[in-house]
This record gives sequence, structure tokens and C-alpha cells, in this order.
Amino acid sequence: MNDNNFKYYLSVVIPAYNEQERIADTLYTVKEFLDGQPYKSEIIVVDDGSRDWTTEVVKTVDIYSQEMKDQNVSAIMENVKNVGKGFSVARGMLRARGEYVLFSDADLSTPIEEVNKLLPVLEGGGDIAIGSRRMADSEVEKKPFYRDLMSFVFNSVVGLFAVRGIKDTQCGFKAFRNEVAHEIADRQKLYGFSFDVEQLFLARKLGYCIEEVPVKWEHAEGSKVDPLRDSIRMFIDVMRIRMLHRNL
Amino acid sequence: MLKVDIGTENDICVIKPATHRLDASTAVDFKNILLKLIEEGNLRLLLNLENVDFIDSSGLGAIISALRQVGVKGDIKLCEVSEQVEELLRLTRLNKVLVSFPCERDALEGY
Repeated sequence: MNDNNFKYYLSVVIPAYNEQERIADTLYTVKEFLDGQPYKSEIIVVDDGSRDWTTEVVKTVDIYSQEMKDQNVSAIMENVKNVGKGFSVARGMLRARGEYVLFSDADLSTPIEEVNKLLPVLEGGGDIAIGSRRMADSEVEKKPFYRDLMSFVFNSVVGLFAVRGIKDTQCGFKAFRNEVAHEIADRQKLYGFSFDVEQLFLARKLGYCIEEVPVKWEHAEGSKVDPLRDSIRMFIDVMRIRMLHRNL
Repeated sequence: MLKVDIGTENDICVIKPATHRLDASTAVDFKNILLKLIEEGNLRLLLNLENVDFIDSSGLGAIISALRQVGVKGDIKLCEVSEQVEELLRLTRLNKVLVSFPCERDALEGY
């Protein structure tokens, strides 16, 4: 660990939209894991204008964890309306006060313990370590066929038009050095599901080093991605990325 | 000031808040009442939430604070919870630590 002015060693950013059914389990799991680590950490949940009980569940789990287990309270940020996952992740990243910033999907498809595979990359001088489901050592539970196909086609398009040489741009488990997270989130313009590609595009343009790390991944039901509508939107976004940052 | 009915039966202190909402507007009062009762030696509490239609994190927070205060020497149980209260207890998984009974009589017998 470096001796610097960061308040925390690790910030975990969790975007959440209508996640009332699983956000409690996710938070209990992440808190339990972080509680067992030798470093100080924070959790930042960004509620993207949920229309269910997500925020109240997060607040209640926090009260319970603090009162009964003396664990840290998460920061909860509420978007006044549903803007998009990309916006929520960027907002959380800008708020992060940890030396390293992990963004994790709320469904914990990649278990939180896998952060132990990403952090050594950053500690070794890397700028960004991204979880990958498409490497030889990745441990991936079989996805539904349509998601596998979507993922393959999307990654091929991304490779052709935006970011070359990255096998899996869409895994919701990525870690950044704090300054890198802030700079990228500050420049990010896409708020939807294709924000990952834009972040990696920006990282490449800014000369940051990206390393893919094989991780575990399990399919979780309840995906917020609409296979048809969101795929079309994501393809259009990928085409726009170069235009959006043509002056970079 | 939040009004509550308080009674005791078989060493169990039964607390019935006279409000439809346990939220930010009533939670502090409710918490203070619970903590005072615990301080006075009431360690087995039964919260009758018959009147409560709505609870949020503040309301649940008051109950959690009381739960911490009674510690392992006592317990807090609930009865006559509304669907909304039951739903939030389920979503937060607090239904595993706060047992609820359909009616006060069952709660007193099963405490």
C-alpha cells in the first residue's frame, strides 16, 4: 500500500436500478468481504432513479451493519431520475476517495473476492485492470445462448470500430487507479450500457495501460438489458464514440 | 410526540405505536421510547404494529437500535405487521432476526 493522502485503499462503486430483490444480499456479501480485509474501504451505491425499495433497503442494511457489526456505512447517491448505468458508474467513480476504485455490477456475477486478482495489477503500476470472461483461465458458467451470441457480436464490433485487442469489454467488474477513474469518468459522455467501451476507448486515447484479468463469472437472472432494444442502442453508441471524442 | 400504548404481560413488554407511519417524522421518538424501556430493564419487547401501514429505513433503524441495546440478554419480536412492513423486512432480510407473529396472542404464547 502506498503512503499517500487517500482516505481509503479501495472504493467499491455499485450502480443499482430496481435492485430491491438482491441489493441486500449483495451489500451484506460485499461488507462481509471488505470487513475481513486488512485495508480501509468504502462502498458507494448509486441508485439510478429506482421505482422500487432499492434505496430504503440499502439504507436499512447500512443501519443494521453499523449497529450490529460495527461496519462502515455505504454512501448512497440517488439520481433524481433514471439516467442510465453509465451515468451512475461515472457519478460513483467521481465520488470515490479510495486509492483504487472498483466498479461492480449489483448482481455480483463476478464474486467480490475476485478483486484480489485485479488489485495486484494496479499495485504493480497498472492503470486499469478489467475482469474478463473470455480468457483461457476465466471460469465462466454457461450463459444463455442469446447473451453469449450478443456478447460475441458486440465484442467483434467493438474491436472493429472502437477498442482493439480487448477480448471482453462488457464484464461488470473493473478496477482503476483513482486518478484514472476520475479522469475517465469526467470525460465520459455515454450514459447507457455501452459506457464500458467508451471508458476503455478514453483510457487508450489517454495512454493508460489496460490489463485483462481472467475472473469467475456466473449468470444471474434479472438482467436489465433488453436484448433487442439495448443491442441496437449499444451498436449506435459504439459507432458514435470516435465522433464524441474526435478532439482527443 | 409519538403516542404509544405500553403494557406488560408475562414479563413481556408490549409496545403499540399509535401512528400509521414509522418514518423520519416518528422514528426518533420511537427509538427513544424503546431505548428508555430497555434502560428500565425491559429486555423482552413485543412490538404490535397493528396501526403501522408504512415503515421506512428510519423506522426499521429505530427497531435495529433497540435490538442492539437488548443484546443477547433479551429479544424483540413483532406482531400484526402490515404487508408493506413485511415486504421491507423480507427485502432487507431482517425477517431472519425479527420474528413476526400474525397476532398479539400468538406472539405472547410463542415468545
